[in-house]
Amino acid sequence: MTQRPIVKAGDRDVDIETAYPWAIGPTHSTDYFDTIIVQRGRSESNIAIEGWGAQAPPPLALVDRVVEAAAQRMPPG
Amino acid sequence: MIRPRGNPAGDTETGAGGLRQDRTAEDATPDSVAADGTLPLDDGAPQHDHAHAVDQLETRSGEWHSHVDRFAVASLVCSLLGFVTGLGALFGIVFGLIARARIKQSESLSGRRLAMGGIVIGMVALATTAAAVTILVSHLSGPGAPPGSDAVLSGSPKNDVELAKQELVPPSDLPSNWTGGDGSTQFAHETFFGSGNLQASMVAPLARCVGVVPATIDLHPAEAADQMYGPDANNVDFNDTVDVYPTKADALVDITAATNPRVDTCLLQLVVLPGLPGYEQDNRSRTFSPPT
Repeated sequence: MTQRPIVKAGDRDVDIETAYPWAIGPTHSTDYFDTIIVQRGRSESNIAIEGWGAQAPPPLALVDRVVEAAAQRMPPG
Repeated sequence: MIRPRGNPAGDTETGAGGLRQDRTAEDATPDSVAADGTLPLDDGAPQHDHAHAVDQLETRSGEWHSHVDRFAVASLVCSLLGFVTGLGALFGIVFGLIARARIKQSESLSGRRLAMGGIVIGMVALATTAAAVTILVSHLSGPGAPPGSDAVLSGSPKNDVELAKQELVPPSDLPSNWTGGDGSTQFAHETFFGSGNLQASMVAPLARCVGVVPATIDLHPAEAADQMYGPDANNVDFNDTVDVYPTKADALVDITAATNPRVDTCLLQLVVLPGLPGYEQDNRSRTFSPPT
């Protein structure tokens, strides 16, 4: 599990990425689970981007995009 | 009684016809000057009654502006502004009360009615402002509150449901080829640890493993909304769950527990692997292999 640096949009923002490599015989890949938490005031958005058998984690540009979209809709507090 | 500031060049009096006439010391003959230095009236009336009449006339003549208490004027102005600013009404009332006190204590100040008007108008403006704010807050707290509004301050569970729905990331903010969201939402009551899916029996062991009290991983936010999207014909899922906690401190508890460095290992050992019966993990490559 690693924390990826993401854009600062809310009061607290974090992208916790968990990678599960797997192998079935000669076939192998990795499942990526990114849990992105965006907090602002009392509100918290838990965004999960799950890549089943993906070759790479979700691009940071996409993560930053949804983080900003989530924070923008939260009232300050 | 209002006293005119007077005419420094001479005295003022009224004639028999009621018209005001200015009379200077040069106009007075030695015989017409009384022992006390005052000028006698043409009709022989006492000088002090005459002065009183002059006072009243001066009051109506236009010089009264200079004697109106400034607080009374400020009271009226502020109270009228109170319809715009709200706070001005408060100043208007305070200034009006000060003006009334000053006028009562001083014989040289006027504007009692002005001050009273300022106070009354200020109260009306204050009541109007209070009613407008109440209606506005009620409107923002109810269903349909715009995103980013201060409705979050209401803290009402019912309002939090609406707030959570509105704070979901809309499809327009996702890649155009992502579908799945039909606009409906479901209530997940789900935190980072997924307490909605986490078996109750797992809460205590997971908390012990992470080294936190169970309450920090078994939070139940007031309300939550949940929606899932994903690109067509792809193996990527996007899921957004919005929680609105009772307080900011509660929200902080969840993210603090989620970023605990032991969470990874604990979730793997207690939640992931038990959910994959027969799977084995290669500790060197950290690869999971299904049962053969």
